[in-house]
Amino acid sequence: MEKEKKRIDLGELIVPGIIIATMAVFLYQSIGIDRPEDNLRLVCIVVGVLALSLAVILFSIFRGEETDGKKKTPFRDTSLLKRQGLLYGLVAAYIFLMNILGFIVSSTVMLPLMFLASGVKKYRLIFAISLLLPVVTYILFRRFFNILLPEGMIETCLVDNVLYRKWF
Amino acid sequence: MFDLPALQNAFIMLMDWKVLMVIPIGLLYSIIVGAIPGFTTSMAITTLLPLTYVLDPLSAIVILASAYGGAIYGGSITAILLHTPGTPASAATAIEGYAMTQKGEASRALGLATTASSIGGAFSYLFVFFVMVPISWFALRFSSPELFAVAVFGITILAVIRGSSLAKGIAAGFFGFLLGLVGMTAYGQTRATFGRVELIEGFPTVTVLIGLLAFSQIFTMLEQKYIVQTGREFEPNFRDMVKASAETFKDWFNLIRSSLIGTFVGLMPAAGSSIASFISYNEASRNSKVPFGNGNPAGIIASEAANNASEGGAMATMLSLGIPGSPSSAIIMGALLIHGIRPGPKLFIPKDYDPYSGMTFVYAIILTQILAAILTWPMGLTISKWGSRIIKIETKVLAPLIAFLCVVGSFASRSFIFDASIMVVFGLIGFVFSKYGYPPVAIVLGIILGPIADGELMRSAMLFFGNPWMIFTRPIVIVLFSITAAALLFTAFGELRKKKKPAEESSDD
Repeated sequence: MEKEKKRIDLGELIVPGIIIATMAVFLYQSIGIDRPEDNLRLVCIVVGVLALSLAVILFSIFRGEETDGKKKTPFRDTSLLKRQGLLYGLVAAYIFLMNILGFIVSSTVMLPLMFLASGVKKYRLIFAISLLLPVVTYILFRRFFNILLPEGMIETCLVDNVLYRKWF
Repeated sequence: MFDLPALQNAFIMLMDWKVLMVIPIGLLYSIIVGAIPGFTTSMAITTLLPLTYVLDPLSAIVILASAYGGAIYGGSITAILLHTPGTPASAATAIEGYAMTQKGEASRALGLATTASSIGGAFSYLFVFFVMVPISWFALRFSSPELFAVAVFGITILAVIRGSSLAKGIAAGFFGFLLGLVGMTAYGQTRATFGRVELIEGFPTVTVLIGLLAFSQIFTMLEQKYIVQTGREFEPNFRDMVKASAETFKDWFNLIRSSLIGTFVGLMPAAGSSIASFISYNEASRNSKVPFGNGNPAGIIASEAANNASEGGAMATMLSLGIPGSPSSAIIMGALLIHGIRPGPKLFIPKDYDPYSGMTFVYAIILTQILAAILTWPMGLTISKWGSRIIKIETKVLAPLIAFLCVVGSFASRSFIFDASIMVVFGLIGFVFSKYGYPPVAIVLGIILGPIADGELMRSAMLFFGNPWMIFTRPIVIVLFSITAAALLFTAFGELRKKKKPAEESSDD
């Protein structure tokens, strides 16, 4: 059987890179711990995992990975990647906006954008879900579960200055 | 072994319609809530707490305990259909269940999960019913060193959830293990919190779970039009679910072994249903001829029977020793205390003036829970039949909806916007890790086991005046470590044998 020449896939370095970066943070943080018991144990774990991650990198690069006979390269479909990235960015923005605009307003604004980003073209469906879902969720959480959802600066300001203002 | 007059009185107590009515109410509510990602079993019980103020002590504990079992089961519905475990206890179910859904066998997977949950729950309470007294003797002997040994044993599960290679599975597991160490230590210091108050208790497990298993899945989901790839339209079929229920009994050995594992793990304080389900899943995979990870029914049976069986064990520890075996039983214990009932050895002493004391009360609870476990089967099948229609929706419509649920669920667990941000970060980690063959479930396992192992080891060191090696003077620890070593050696030899075989085959060619 002829052996195939293996190329170094830089993508394989991403995950070990994340693990090593986390280890480095832990190592740095563990220096500040006063108790010797804590410090020793944490450093041991960090060094252990660091060594393991390095082993994984070496294993991946020089020995090659055994998959089911098929070598799949992730993140090749750029149009799909763009769609995924856009949706991810919108969810991140939604969380950021929730703090400012409050749950209902930010959900009503961001849900249609999220639907459009994932490729939904039925505008009536988007409109209905984006309007109903936040309201129903809000009522369910507030009334039945007794969990307060973020009101946001604008909502708090409106409630304080309009609803609870002494007009007379 | 039995207190027959108490048993007779317990049956009389159960004749009250209020007690019988609260069982289906608790189940219905908790199965639905448990199926929502981000709503843990504890949350399902906590949200029912205000209702118990107006109920008598027995009805109060019955509705909460029914909700406990229902929520654990409910988590499996979305775990199977959307690879989104409603509760951490269903994380192992998601591996095999979702693989079956992708093969167009969602009805079968739901039937197996429902029956295994029902049998597991009923089995554990029946078991508790027979061995309540010896259980309290055994559980009393578990302290920090033994719990540390249990957590270490849990690490061997990484060999099963290995991803594309064993090394990657272990690397991901240890990564999770390390993330589990964030927060306050048993000595009172904070680790890697970067001054964030929200991280003092560590990464919130529910949030991390939502991020790694649910949110990350959205992006994978977008790669195809429907979740089911078989091409034929999936129609939720009640008959298939019932047929699969009968199939569960064919794997009776796995069912009983998993129920026993779940009951024993549940008995150990702090071990919980997630560990029970993973240990049982691990054992089932070790004994299976068909590989796990591609939709093996034995995996679903093992995971679901064990997580529901852990409930009976946890309740037994709570009632007999006054030690909550899980966060959920801690809440139930809190509810009992509100009603003036103190769980513990004294609970078994009958008081003439108090009907909610002695073995009568304990038997009444056990009997109602056996009934609740049996009721889980018809109610579970009916709810999952309707719930399973979700997979007929296009992924582009589902993705934003799940994203919305993930954000709300991660926020709801502690009411911190910060948690939703953590969820998004872990979602990205989960997506990238899974793309490169690192199993995100291994990270979850590490996050669950890390704090337990770390905390119990530290407490053991304190117990033995700074010398943690003294834990090996305890017989249960030695037994548990021997099992761990045997399991690891068995896996390593299996791995070596697998590698040798293809090498021999290729040399023959």
